[in-house]
Amino acid sequence: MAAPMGATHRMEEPSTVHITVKLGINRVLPVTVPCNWNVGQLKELLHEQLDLDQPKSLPLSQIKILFAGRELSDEFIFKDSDFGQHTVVNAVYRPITQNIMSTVEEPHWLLTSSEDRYSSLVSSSTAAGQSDHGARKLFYVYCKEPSCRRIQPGKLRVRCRTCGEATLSISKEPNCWDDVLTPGRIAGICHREGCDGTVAEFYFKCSVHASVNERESMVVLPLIRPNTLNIPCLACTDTRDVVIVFPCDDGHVMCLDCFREYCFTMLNDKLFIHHPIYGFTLPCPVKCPESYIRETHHFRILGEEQYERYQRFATEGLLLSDGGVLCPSPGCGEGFLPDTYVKNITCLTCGFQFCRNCNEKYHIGACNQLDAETGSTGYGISGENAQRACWEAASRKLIRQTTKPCPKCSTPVERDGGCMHILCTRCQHEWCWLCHAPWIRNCQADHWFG
Amino acid sequence: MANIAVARIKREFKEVVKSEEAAKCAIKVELVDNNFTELRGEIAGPPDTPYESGTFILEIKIPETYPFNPPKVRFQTKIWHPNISSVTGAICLDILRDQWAAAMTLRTVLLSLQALLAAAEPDDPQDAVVARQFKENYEIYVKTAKHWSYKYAGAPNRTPELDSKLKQLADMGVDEHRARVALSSCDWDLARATETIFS
Repeated sequence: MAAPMGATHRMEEPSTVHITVKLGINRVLPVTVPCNWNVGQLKELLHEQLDLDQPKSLPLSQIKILFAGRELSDEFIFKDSDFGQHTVVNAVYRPITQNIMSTVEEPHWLLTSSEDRYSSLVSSSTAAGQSDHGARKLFYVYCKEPSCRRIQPGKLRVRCRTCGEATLSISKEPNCWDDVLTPGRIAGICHREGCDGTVAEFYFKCSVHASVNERESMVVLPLIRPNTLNIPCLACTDTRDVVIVFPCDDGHVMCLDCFREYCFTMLNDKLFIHHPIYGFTLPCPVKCPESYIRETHHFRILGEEQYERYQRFATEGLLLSDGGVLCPSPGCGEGFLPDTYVKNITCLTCGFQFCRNCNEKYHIGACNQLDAETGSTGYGISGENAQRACWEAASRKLIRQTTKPCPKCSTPVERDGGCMHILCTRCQHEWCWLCHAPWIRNCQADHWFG
Repeated sequence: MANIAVARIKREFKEVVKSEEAAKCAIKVELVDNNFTELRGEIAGPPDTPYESGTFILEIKIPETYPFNPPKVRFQTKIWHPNISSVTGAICLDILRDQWAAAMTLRTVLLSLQALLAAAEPDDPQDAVVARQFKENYEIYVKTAKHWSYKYAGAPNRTPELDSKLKQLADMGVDEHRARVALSSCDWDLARATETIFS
């Protein structure tokens, strides 16, 4: 189902809810109950059904229903929570005793966070009244399911780190992103028989469609948030429901359409930077200091095709900055890290043999001697091929006349006005157009422009 | 043009029109075409500068990728200023290049250009000749800039002693603007200017 973002809670309320009850590791019992039922009624139903095939089952009072790391109280009513269709709960028999916090009415921590900015969001939306109850989506994921493939509201879930089952009750509620994203910060007790797991593992699911694979998790995008404060987008100035809040001190806000456009423009202008810790990323568009996006999955907003391009640029940039080379053959672009003394490089993918210095077909002797050679096509060439060769020779000639190769990576650079100081957008090398050498203070003093 | 760019420009256009500065006639913006790709800006020369009371027209082109790339801005009115080309009107201002940020607007650009007229940066020049004059012969720079503002931007201050030199070159059959450029570039030394023109 590809419902638009945030539309799920506006759909018509169904009168029953399908719940999948897991009993132990291999038994699954799908049940359909009225929405206004509570957990106590579910337990009675389970007890009856289990009695049929398991006459010696434990007394009703020892059944516990676990959901999202908490035990649900008997009074808990399904329609009051974020229970979607086919939500999975775990039924366990072991008595839950030590180290467990008191049972809560609802796993309310799903909706809260400790960051100040968040607290204000939560309190303001609470004040808006009960109609929004259960619809306050604070988490967004990139859903990689083929039917979604976009940014969607996400659901936070918890499981046992040891056995991977949702039979764990947590001993402390998570109250910041670190608690959720850094493994091993929150402890708990796993109630599955035979498992002695004590560590919680958090993961996110797409809340728009029922999960195909229960264990599948989606990458969470911590900067994407609901715009509960109604902040206008800094680019288009529209006030939209879902926004990205940049990690700068001011927390600059942009709508997702503009964020996509921002990423796309920066990608085309080769203005992404290689950050030593976060990788190939962008800062806040207002250019605030220390505002780089840390979780690069946010760039998934570019869409499949452009995200692949983003990944390719990231890899190429890293390779070139490490002294690597890219195969210049059209349509190839395979990367290598040959030893520095090697001049004759053969592409392992397409077999093209080329000169490391000029990126032309490998040759003996000085570079830039190839024009004459390509003119003499020799024999056995069809008319069509000959014509093509002339066109490409002409295009090469034009590039040679209007550009200069970057002294470091040989990428042809065109100077369209401005000063002599050239910054290569491919390898970031700073060089002088006039000297064709690294940019130094003397270049500035002697011929900055002209 | 992209929807984002159009939506932004429409709002920014209104922002300029309703601004305090527009009320004081310090800045102005007009549409050139109906699809918001080209605008005509106007800034008043700031007080206590050689540009005082002049009106400077700007050509503003909005790229498809606005506001993620800066608008392309050029002076249409000829001006004598270290950071603006006296030939093409090209502007050397960091916010119109690599320091552009998506949160900037037409209003901030116009105000920044006005600020540039009040505070030139001769160490980061666009016009080398003007920059040298600014640093080495400031009084002549002020006179020249005033003269250009009078001639091209409608500023009220005449500069009679410069006019007489211009007239002498004009009497020799030299085109007025060419004579002005030569004299301005040679610090109003008539002999040197004549030599430049006729050599």
